[in-house]
Amino acid sequence: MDSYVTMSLLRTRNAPLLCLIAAVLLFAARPTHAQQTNPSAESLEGRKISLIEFPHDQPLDERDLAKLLDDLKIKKGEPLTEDAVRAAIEQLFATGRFTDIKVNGEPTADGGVTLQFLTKNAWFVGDIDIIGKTGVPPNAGQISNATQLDLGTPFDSAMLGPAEEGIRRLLVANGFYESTITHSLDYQDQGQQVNIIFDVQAGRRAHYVAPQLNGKNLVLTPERIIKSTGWHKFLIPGWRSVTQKRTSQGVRNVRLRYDKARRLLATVQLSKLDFDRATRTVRPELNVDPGPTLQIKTVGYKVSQGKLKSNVPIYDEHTVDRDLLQEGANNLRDELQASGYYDASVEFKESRTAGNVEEIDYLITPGKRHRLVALSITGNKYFTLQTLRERMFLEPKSLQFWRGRFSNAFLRRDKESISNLYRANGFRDVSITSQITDDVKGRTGDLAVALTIDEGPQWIVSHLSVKGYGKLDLHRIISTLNSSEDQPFSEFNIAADREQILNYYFQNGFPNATFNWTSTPGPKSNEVSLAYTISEGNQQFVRQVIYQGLHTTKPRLVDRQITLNPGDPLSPVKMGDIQRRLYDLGIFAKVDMAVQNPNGDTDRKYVLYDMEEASRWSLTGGVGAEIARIGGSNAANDLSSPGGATGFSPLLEFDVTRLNFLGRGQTLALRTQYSDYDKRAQLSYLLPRIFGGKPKYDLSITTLYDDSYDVRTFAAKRSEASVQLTDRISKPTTIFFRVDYRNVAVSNLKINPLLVPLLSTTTKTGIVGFNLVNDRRDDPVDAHRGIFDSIDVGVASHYLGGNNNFIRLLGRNATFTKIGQKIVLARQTSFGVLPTYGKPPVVSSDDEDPIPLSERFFGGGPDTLRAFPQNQAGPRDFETGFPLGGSALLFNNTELRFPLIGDNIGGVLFEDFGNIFDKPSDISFSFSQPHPSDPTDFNYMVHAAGFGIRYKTPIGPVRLDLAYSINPPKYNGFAGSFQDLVNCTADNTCTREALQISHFQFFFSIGQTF
Amino acid sequence: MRFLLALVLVTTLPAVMIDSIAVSVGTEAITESQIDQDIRLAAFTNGSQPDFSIESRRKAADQLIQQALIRREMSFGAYPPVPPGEIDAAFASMEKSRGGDGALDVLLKQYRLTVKELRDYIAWQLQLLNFIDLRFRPAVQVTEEDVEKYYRENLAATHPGAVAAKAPPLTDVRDQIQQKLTGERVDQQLDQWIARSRSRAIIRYIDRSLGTGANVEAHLDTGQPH
Repeated sequence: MDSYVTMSLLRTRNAPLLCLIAAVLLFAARPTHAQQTNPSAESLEGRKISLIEFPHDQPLDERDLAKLLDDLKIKKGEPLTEDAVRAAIEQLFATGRFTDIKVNGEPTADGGVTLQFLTKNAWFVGDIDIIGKTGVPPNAGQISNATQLDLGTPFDSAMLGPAEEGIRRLLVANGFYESTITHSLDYQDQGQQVNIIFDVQAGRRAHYVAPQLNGKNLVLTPERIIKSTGWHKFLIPGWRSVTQKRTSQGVRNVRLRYDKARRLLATVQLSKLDFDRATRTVRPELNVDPGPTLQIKTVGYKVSQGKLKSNVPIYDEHTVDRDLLQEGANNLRDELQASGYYDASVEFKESRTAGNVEEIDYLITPGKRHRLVALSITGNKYFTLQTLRERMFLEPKSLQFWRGRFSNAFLRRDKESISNLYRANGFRDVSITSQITDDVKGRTGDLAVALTIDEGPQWIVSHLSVKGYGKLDLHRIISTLNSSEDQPFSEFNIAADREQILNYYFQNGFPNATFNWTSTPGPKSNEVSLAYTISEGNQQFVRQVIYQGLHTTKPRLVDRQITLNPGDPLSPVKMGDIQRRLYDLGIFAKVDMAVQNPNGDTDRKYVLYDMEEASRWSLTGGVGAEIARIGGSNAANDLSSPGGATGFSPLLEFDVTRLNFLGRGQTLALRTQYSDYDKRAQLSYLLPRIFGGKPKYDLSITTLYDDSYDVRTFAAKRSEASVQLTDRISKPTTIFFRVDYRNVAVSNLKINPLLVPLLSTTTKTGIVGFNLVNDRRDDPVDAHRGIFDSIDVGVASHYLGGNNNFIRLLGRNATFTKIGQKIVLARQTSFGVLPTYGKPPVVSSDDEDPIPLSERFFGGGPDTLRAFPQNQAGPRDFETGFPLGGSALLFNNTELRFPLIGDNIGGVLFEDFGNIFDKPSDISFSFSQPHPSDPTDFNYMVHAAGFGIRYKTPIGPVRLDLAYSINPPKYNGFAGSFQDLVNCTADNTCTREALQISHFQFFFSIGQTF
Repeated sequence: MRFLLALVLVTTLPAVMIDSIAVSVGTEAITESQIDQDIRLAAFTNGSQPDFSIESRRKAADQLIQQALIRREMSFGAYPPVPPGEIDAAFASMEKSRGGDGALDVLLKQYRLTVKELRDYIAWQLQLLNFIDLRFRPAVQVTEEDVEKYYRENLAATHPGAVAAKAPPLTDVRDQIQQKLTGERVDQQLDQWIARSRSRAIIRYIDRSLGTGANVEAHLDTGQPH
């Protein structure tokens, strides 16, 4: 171009002038790297900058750019310097948002210079989208991970090759040897992002064929080895399809097979997988070395194989060396000491015998067995005994630890824990000594441990100065620091202060803040003057929040969860909160979060969220069974077992859920259940976070059809519709507002035939109410401390379309109190009444209790009153003896929960009392049933006491309760069929059968009683 | 007429490139002017004429890449800065060797350098020595056997037979041998570390003439116009 201009000008007539110009132009067109010899660039040095241009869209925030150039004095009116230009290039490049920068200068007529920054923008990894036919496994998330392309990191097209190679490797590992992978790039100007779409056509998956086994003397037969891989189909001919997990599991299984053959040192390696394209099969090749037979045994003391395996690491590591053997010896010694053999010593001996057998003998000298009968701590003034004991492993004998808990390792650890506690509170010179006394009071093996604490002086902070802050107001933080004036001086406290201060900076967008401290002697002895120095570094802000990965979800739903705005401090805590909120929507399988260009030297950063929408359909099924006193005949004509009988019922469950309905984060769910006692279908529609997207309010609409026979007296077919608004007032307090309308038809009534016409009327109930819940338990599944309150209030009215008027009040209060360290006293009281009001539009019940049968309270069973089988408490039919329910309930449960064996098995002693009563005015605390000879009155308190066992599981404790009902009710039953009852009622010849609820009840279920 | 001439001259002068990125090391840019400056500084300290040939520029770019890697490593560790007094002394020595204050200024102008640039250059060299000493020397151990072996193979062997008696006794040269071996091993460590760092770092030669063979990476071809 320069040459072209020169030549054009030379063709004009004013030759001398043009020659001069040509000379200047030629001079200016010399190579740039010879700047030393390029006076044109040099000649611009010192000229005043007239204009600064970025001809291409520059990606920096205007404020950042202006500050950067201003700081370097690259601004209008300032003289141009080569150093400043160089520094500008360096700093612009350090932002990470450019891949190339050139600076041109053009002289202006007024003696100035126009600076042009010619830039080429960088790009960053955005959404990784996997489309095509991939087959699972691997799933889209695994394929995305295999690309090794991290959200927000600088993008280079050279990364695409390795990314595709990563996908290919993953596919091959999963049996897809004939895949095709292509990609396309979608450049987004917003945030300089590149969304990368990988189109993966996995092809058909290969199957295994019999592996080739390499190795001398395999010990096991090839058939046995092949079978243990699990690569052949079970029982039927043919080989399974290849997956990465199946391949590695197969190799592991072979090794486990050798383990069982006492070949713990066997090595099994997958050397290759040969793919045959013609048959689309894979032949694995396994290199097998069985190694020697390993015999590990104990001499001098019998240790079970299970304990040996858990203590000797050779079983896990599959190698033998002195370190592992010694570790095994130490573990066995600790195990013995914990069992009372405090003087136990364990050594090991290795030997190799003929026949390639390696023997390892653990020589155990258990010594005398002890009990830790006493543990005393003296010298502690600053901390209470309880505070110290909470931190200790040593335990004197108790119900939980029959021999106490003691070992030299525990003693060392406890002394260290106590020392650390003292040091953390300024007692820098603390010393703890221990004395162990054997055969206490002449009893062989009884041990006493005495710890003596010499606390020494407490060091105090005489003065604390904090320097170096200014961008953030630290006054509030400083007032809460652990090492403030007159507080104990300890490095532990300083570390806590450091964490508190740096966290505060971190949360406010100061990722590079640092903390240093120094101390000098204070004015008095045992006093220290502390100085904290903070280097704040630059504060970083949010430039914009960008999210991607939505296909069906409405952006508005996500917008509501984004609480960070441009200009806010870049807070990782808030970023994490947003991620959590997005996960809480329940519609995303993965939410990746990143700060774009994290190493770029800019103060304003893009915050990125990349979502992977979860599968919108979810199907779950379950099979189970109920075993309890739920039995007895379901036949309408059979009046046997009015008090229930031990029964068994299979249970099937099937649920279908449609997540993210209409892309609005709403959920449509159908839940069904089928058992002998309950057939149920429920369709619900959940609208979470209504009213502005805050997690405060949820709305749900539910319809239900339920055909149940859980109360043995009648079968009920219930059709119900309800609308519920959930308002989370605070963390512990939630209120549920609810409107229900239900239609209940009862049948198969097992009651006095004269009452059947009244009680079998179909009832319609419209009820409006609320349930206020205040849950302050530490763990809702297995509470150890706290309070739980709930009050449920409902008003049923004919104005709501029902045919009865009543009020439903049900309150519950439970408290959980720790006694000592491990015992919990739990109690619960439930109280409920069903008063009627007004005149019911339709008489639907008997005069005694106008509440329809299906709306009455029923109770008794594992969760309410363990004196009764399920729903067997309260008034009963005089003729048949079946329960009728009541309009009032009062239950009280008291439990003492304590550890029984180890940490996972606990015991419970309980006492329950209460009953269901005809009317609120019938509630009685009488211990005896009124008129037991003519048992028609059931209004008294029934008590039960018992013992239960709890086994901890991840889903809550598994529960077995055995109850003894102290004063179970007597009642009259009828020995015969319903037709017999009709007949004998007509001629008044019925013969009653005297019955009583069994004294003994058992319950087996999951979860604590309350 | 003069004004017209000036106007014509100015309006027809093309834009000249003042500076541009030559190589990048991670997020650190090395500019063309930096390479030139490095060549001038090296020439000045060597007392030679600056050589701006491609070969020389490649060598300078390579030095600057190493510097960038070392600077990054130094930023991760707590390496103490060189005391200003030490820099002053080294600068004074350089000034003296170039004929004093006035002569140095004249000489610097000839090389298009400033006093500050020279001073920074000296400070960096000292910092570099300091870094090498702290980072690599502690890991280097020279045993008595190493010294004896070196003595046997390099001193005694050069004085075979009767002449062997003329070789200096080991006790006289032990310290020198130890220093020499230590220096060699520190250099080896440094070279290995630089090679490892280079393989891990993302180095892009934007001025393609500076890279050699596989080192050259084109400008990022992202398919975008800018």
